[in-house]
Amino acid sequence: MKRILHMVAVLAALAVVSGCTPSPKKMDSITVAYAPFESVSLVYVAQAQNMFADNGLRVTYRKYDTGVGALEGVQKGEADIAVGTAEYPLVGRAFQEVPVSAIASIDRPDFIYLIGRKDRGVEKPSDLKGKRIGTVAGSIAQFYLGRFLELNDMTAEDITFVDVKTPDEWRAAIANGDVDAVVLAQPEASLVKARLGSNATFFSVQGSQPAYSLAIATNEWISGNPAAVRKFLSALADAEEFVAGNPAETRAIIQKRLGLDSDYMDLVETQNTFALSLDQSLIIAMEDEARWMINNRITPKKEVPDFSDYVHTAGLKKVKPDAVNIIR
Amino acid sequence: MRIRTQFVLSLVLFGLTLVVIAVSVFVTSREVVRLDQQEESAVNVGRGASELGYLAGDYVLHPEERRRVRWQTKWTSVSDEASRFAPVSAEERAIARSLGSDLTRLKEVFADVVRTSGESSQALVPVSWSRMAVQNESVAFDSVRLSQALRKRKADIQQQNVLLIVTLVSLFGAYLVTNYVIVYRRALKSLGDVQTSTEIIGRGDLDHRIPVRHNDEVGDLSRAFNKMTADLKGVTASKWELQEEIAERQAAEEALQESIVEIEDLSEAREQELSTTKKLLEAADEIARWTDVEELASRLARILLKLTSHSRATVDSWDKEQGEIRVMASEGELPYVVGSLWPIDEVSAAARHAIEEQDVSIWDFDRLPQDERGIAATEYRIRHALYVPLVQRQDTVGMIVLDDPGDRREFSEREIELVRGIAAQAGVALENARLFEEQRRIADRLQEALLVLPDALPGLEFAHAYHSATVAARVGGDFYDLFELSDGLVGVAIGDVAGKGLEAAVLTSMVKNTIRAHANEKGKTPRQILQLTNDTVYKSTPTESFVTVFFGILDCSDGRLVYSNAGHTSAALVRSDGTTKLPANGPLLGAFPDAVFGEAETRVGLDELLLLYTDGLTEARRDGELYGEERLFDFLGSTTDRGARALVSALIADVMSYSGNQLRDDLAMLSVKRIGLGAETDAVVIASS
Repeated sequence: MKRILHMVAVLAALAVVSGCTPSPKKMDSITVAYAPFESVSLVYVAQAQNMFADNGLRVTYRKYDTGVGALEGVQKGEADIAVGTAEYPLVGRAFQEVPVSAIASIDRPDFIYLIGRKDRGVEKPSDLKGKRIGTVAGSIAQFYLGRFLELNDMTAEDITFVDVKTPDEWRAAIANGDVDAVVLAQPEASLVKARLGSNATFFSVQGSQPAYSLAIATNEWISGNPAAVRKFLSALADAEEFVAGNPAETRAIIQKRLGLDSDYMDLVETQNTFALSLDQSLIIAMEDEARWMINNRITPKKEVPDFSDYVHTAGLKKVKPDAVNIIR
Repeated sequence: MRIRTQFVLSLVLFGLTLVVIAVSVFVTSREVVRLDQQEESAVNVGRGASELGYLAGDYVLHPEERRRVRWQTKWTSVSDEASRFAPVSAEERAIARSLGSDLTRLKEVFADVVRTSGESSQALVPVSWSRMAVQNESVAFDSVRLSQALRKRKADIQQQNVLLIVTLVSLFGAYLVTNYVIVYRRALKSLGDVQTSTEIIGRGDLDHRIPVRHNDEVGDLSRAFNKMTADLKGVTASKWELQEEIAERQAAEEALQESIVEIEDLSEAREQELSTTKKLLEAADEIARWTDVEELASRLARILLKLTSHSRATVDSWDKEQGEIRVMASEGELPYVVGSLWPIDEVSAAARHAIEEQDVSIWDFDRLPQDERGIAATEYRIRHALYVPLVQRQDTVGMIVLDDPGDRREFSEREIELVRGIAAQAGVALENARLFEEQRRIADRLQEALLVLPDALPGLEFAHAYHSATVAARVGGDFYDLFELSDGLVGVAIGDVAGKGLEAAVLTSMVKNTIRAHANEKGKTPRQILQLTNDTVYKSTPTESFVTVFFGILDCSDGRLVYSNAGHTSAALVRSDGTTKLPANGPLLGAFPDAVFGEAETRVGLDELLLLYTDGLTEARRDGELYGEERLFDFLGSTTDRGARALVSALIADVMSYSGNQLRDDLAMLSVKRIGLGAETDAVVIASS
């Protein structure tokens, strides 16, 4: 009897040891390019909760001023994956046939605002005609500004577009009056608005159509690092689950990371939808944006690209198949 | 842990498992139903989003009011459907929130499309379509996601439920297996030990003990079994001892039984011997009581009938000189005529054999020749008889014949021995009786001589009585005497000689004659006469011979009475004014040499009585109480008839009445009444028996 008990004890001990000691995972190293917007909150949460490491990734972060800058960083090889880049820059890359692909949408933000100066006569959308409006060229803000103008019976030609590429530039431009209004993503939009005080007018230019905060990588890297892609998306899926289940902790992580005040954090919860997805609406939106670019001659191309070629669904399908719904 | 506890624990765990499974199934079923409803709503929302997309496109191409209303109605329906969602998980909540946002945006976008439709150019149509399409797709995508999430959760819940059930069943199974391994195998091993041990114990090894491994029921059983074995060992040992003891006791009992049988046999034999002895003793006692030959023979015959099983007993005497056999007694059936005399030549061969050969023999007359059967066979139907000779000092004095007239009965050894024993005593007894009869005849003559008184004396009226206690004692020692002396004097004496029979009679004669002889010597007083008599008796008889004597000399002329009482009972002088006691004033006569006797003088008045008596009167008994002097003197004081005869008669009657006619000793009584000279009466003997 004692012998049997000893055997049981040994087996139990082995089971505990094997269960408690994780099998050594191969760690992949990647560099993530990001712009400091709340639309990359899943990355912040994954980083804060050590989820990348848990999924076998050693992540290096490279910060860029904008999502476009982050995508350019990837294109330049400075980073492997750009996060927080909207679909519109990807549409531009598609026209240019740049071999990059979105591997996931990580947020559906409705966070592009126009901040105008009242002293420059900007109080309602129609006041924008003839005004100098600054935004980041090639960014989703540029598209939403153009769409906003269209829906308010104006065209891009009715305004003077000023390309402001960095926060310092757009903050200075609106502050010193180089522009009458700027179109910015949050939280810069609220920050600029705060700086203008009561002199500011503040419109949402997205027309109730959320953007897509994408994770984009080069096709070469994607095909060469499927495991890294999967680990990266797995970590973000973990973060999505954490965000859904832990709103207070998520709020704390984002607030700390971006240095936001509490009032603004209230907006974050309403103007963002932090979730991994690759669905048909993204394609439709990109095609819409592509057509807008063609119509506004932003691209010399006359034909809308097949954006399914710029969306890499395999990675997300492995990690979260329900989140993929692309019609091919 | 005890088996019962384990069993109860197993039942509790099994029950808990069932309860948990039941609750889980119930909860899961409810959740699945709810999730199905939620999923159906999600599907409806997705379908609604598709329809909204169609209606939106329709409106974009044909912006008419009814189409707008249709879209609005549909949106409201879809929104209502979406509002029914009750997301549970965080993911569901996130998707539901996203879906709500999508629907809100869809409505805002449609409103924007409506707003721009009137004034927009045809160029905004694709923009509006795209905007609506994006939102519709978002709604559809989120509804699908929600549906999938719900389905997934449903699957998860079902899987969890299955997992829970499997886990519980597995855990319970593991518990059972573990229980089996740890408990039941242990119990089975313990039971195996018990079984093995019972076999060992069953083979008789009561020193074997079952190892008690655990403190459970099997342990209890083992302990109880060990105790039982220990007790059994003790019991077995006791049983063996008991069996040995029983065997010993049985052997002892058998031996005892044998001894009892032997003892019973012996006892029976002893009893028979005792009975025989007792009967012999009885017979001897019976025989010894009778000194009359005829009576003795008759008693012998009755005793023989009583002690044997035969119906006729005959005692014959043999007169050798006359050559005749005389029937002395015959009892039972068809008795012989007592007194019959048969010459020896005429009796049967059996009788001749007994008389002549002195041989105990049994005779079968049926086998004797007719001429040898004698008159006994012909007249007295003798057929089978026991003949036992009566022998005294090697001489045949008679014979006993025991038979059953007209019948043939066997004689047992005991009967033969008994008759032989009786015959041996009877021979002696018959001889003794014959001698006693002869002696009695002599004693009677002697006593008659001793008790002879003169027929009459002048001046005196007297009466005397003698009563013997037994026939055998007729030759007793009591005597009285009344004799005339010279000068008108009369000697009066009464005495009691110790002993019975001829010796006593001789002594009595000696005393009486010695007193009478010395009394005739002139001048001798009663004291001197008794002293002289004492010297004679003392010298002439053995030491143990002695006599009590009252002797007095009465002067008939004046009534003067000088007397000496040598140890005798008091004499009584009955007067008109009372009775005077004349007690002893000297020792026993013949007991001591040179004994000195007292002497006293009194006067017997006319018509006064002098009563002399022996102790047979005062020592008469009734229920152990003596008649006594007091009663005697009371009687004398109360009697009215003062005649000598009347007094003696009344006194004899009184004492016989008192003693129930059973005197213990001889009684002699002499009463002398002084009636004065010139008057005399004949002496009267009141009683002499």
